[in-house]
Amino acid sequence: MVFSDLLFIYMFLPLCLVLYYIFPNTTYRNGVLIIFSLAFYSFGEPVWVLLLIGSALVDYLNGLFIDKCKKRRSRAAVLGVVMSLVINLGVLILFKYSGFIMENVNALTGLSLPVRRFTLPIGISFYTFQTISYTVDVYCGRARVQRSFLDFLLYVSLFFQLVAGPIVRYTTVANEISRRRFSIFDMSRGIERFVLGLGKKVIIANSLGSIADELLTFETAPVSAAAAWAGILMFSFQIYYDFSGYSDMAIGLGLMFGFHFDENFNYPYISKSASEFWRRWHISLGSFFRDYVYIPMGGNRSHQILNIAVVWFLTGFWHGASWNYIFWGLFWGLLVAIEKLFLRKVLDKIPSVFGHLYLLAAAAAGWMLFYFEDLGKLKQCFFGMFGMNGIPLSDEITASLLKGSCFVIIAAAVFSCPVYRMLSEKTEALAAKSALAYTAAKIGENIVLLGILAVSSILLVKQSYNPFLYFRY
Amino acid sequence: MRYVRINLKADARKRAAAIITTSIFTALFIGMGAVSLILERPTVSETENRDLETLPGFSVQSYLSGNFAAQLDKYFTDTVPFRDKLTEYAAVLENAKGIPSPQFYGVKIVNPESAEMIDAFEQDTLTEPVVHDEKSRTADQSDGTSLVPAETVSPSVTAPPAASAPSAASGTETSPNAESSGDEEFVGDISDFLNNGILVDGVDMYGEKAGIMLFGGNDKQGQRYAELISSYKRELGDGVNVYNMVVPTSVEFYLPKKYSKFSNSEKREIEFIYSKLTDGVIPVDAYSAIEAHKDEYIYFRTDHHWTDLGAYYAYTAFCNAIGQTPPALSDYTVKTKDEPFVGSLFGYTNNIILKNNPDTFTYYMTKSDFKGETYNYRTITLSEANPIYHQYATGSNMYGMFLGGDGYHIKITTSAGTGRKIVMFKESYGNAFAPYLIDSFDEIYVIDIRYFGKNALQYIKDVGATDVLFINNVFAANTSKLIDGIERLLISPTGTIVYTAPAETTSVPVETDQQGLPIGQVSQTQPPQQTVQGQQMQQVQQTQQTQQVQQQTQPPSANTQPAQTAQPVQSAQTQPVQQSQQVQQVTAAPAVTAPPAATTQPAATAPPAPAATVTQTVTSPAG
Repeated sequence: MVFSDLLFIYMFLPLCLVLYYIFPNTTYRNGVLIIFSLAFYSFGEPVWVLLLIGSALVDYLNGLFIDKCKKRRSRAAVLGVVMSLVINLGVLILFKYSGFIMENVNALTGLSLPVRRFTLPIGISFYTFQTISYTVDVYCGRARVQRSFLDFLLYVSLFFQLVAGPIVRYTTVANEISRRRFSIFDMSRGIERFVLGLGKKVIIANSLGSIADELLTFETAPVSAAAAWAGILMFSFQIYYDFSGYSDMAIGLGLMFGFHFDENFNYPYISKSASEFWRRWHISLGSFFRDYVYIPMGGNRSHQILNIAVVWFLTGFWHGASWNYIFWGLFWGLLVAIEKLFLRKVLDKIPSVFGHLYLLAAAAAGWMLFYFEDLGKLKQCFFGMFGMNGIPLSDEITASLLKGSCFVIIAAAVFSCPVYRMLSEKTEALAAKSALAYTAAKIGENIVLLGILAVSSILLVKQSYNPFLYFRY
Repeated sequence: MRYVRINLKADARKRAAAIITTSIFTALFIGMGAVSLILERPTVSETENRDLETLPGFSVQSYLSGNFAAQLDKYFTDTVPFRDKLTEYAAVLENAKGIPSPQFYGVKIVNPESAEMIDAFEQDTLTEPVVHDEKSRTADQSDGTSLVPAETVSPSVTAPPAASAPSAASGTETSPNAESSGDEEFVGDISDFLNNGILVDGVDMYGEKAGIMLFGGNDKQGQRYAELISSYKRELGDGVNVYNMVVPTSVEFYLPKKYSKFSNSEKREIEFIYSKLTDGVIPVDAYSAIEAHKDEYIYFRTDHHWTDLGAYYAYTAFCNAIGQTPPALSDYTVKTKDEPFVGSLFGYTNNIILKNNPDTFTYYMTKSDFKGETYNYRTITLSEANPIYHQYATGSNMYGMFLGGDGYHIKITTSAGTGRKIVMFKESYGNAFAPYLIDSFDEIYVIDIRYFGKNALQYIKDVGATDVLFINNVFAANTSKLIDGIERLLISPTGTIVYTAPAETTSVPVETDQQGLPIGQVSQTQPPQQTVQGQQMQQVQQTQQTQQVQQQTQPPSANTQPAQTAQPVQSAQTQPVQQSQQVQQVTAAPAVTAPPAATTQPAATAPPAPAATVTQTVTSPAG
């Protein structure tokens, strides 16, 4: 099940809300959440739900072990971390990377070792990282050990962030697992976030995503320059609206049940440099690698270039077991390194419009690497972009596709700037000024939200194109 | 102090706003959830012409495999209350996403020099099993629910030349009715045919916006098609005339020049196929006959079929070939459906422009007498009445008016008196064409290539046919799946055929179909009003004359004749006729008014009392 699904919105969610709020105390409410979370997960992974529970159990025990050792001031505590890393990364490598690794080993050595590709259990890339963050934080003293297995299971399995992030660290929700206060403000903000995320996903991401796929399929005919550029642009919008929409829904759901997650996106396309982009894009992943890989390796202090290379290799590799993701990660790493060396200073001096243009071009180039797992097609697209394939620069199909969705495209461009945030801050500021103006603004806001929900729901009735891009991680 | 008070006020306002937002939306989520449980869920989509998903039964196995959850999810979305209405709104919303402009669904540039479409079906196994049960169709259709244009509309389009294996698989999956059964009032599916996608808008037909299915073409399959038909002639010898008619489609005459790179020339392909015919197969030049009338309403704007008028012009070409003079158009009873027709192209693209420019469904009914019977494909022996003109067909199914859809294996006995018997092999284009043959042949056997599984040569000999016609649109004549069918009919073992031609005086035991309704033998002559009066033959089927059918040749009062509406079987016309059972129900219904079991008399001359007399009184004043 995904959030942008009628069964979720109009059956699972209301049922969960009602049962959750029927119970007065947190223990029962946690029980409701665990049951619904496991049901949610087993809907997509009826078998691998056991892996999820097993993974939670292992790190729960590791946490207890580390805590015990630390109390005795025993050095053995580090074993707990090692165990957690080995088991979690082992599971991740087995399911996600073993096929890729074997293929490449075979290709390099000429052997023909058996290649087995597993279907990836949903959300495995997210929850293994979450449990790693827990054991490491307990070891480093950033988090207190969780003594209740059910509470820990709740953290791991919480359906809001289970399948497609954000990567919520244990420390973020540790207190709220056992103590949550209902707040009507959280509730209404949560609903608002959820509906906005749904709209981002269903109205914008799905519309532009289907255009991107249509333009970038070029199997029987070469791609025109217009089609290649438009396709990459549409994909850039799709992946942002898709993923940030999902994060919005996750954060919104969290708020509806009293959890406060960190933001995962912060208008990345308004960045002026690659480093800034990654402080605004998938923040939970970037900060995870920063705090659990880059800084422990020495950060800026020792062999910084190596650290950068490792972090960006991993960032790329995390996105998929395929070379194009690795190239994509290293591409960003290269930009970040160049910026650190000298480009940053240059960008600071010239008008900011160049920074924006540079970043947008970089992002587009990046998404091109990201989109094509087939390197041959990547080449085809690249040559197409610069009219190097001997076909006319534009074509009717591209023109009609863009024209046929132009309002959505304009909306996508406008709302990738912080327009909504500005409007909503202005609205809240009105509360202190004028009751009438505030009422009017709030009525308007509710009407817009209702409209988004209605449009999204109707589109979902007949929407066959509804993938979540980040679902395969 | 004042500052604090303002803040307190602001907080109160914010709190009120939060409470209101929360109340509205939680009420909405919970209320909609409750409503969606309480309200009746639709089981059939009329606009999409398919059964909707069903609630899965729970079993541990289905749960563990994930099928249960997936099916539950599909079911919930697919059977949302008011689904057809909501999908219509969805189409409006899709249209509002931008400035209306020509929409391409799965269209790619083709090579104008030669037809070289890759046929996704080519990789399929040679022989498709002839499926004849309900379940398989439903199962097939369940995967056809998604309407991703590029994939569903033209599986072939996304098939790269090189990577044949995966593309073949995807082609099979996305062809929802690849193995659809034969007993539906169910008309040919776009994805049955190799095509190059659909263009909607940007095309005008007869002064209104239209959709068009683009032609990719495939010479290799075209050649195979011609060779197979030639081998029919070779096997049948001189005693039987074999005709081949390849019908052009709308794209050939109405595609604007600027889009010509998206479609190959059908004329070239038809000429190519005809040039490959050997052994004395007689080609029928439908192309010229149709082209001469391209300013008339000969193709639908919202459906991939031709209109009955288009089929008539093809029939004139056929008459030319068989040495007959066709009746003039004015010799037919012309009727037009009151209800506008929105056909398959809308079903596939969901493009509201098609819905807003619906077709007018006009048809031409022969005034001659005939009797239509349907044979079950599996047993061949069992027969039931087939009115040939299924005038109750409504909605997106309207093309099912002809013959009742694709699936039927039909015999028509006529009063033409030409001494000739024809076996006709067709796909859905042949449905509109077949009734015209009533004036040219004594017996007409209609066989849909896709659904018939017996040996065709034996069949042709058994029924004593003098003529054989292959009639296919040019897409079909390029599609391996259909051509495989032609081959299968040719080579399938002869022993399996158990055809016994029923005599004119058939007595058929009352059989019970799945719904427990009796299937009787009913005389089927067609009821053009003018002919009927003054004729001794009576027409039970006439009771089904729908009110939706406007009789152009009649004064308007004809529609309001009391007796007509008083007929018990009138209820049939209001049913959404989608299911075979329903079709049978309708055809069976008249039998109730006729003496049921053993109608041993020649049905045509036996006007069974009640129904006939009633109808008689109906028709008398009209003339």
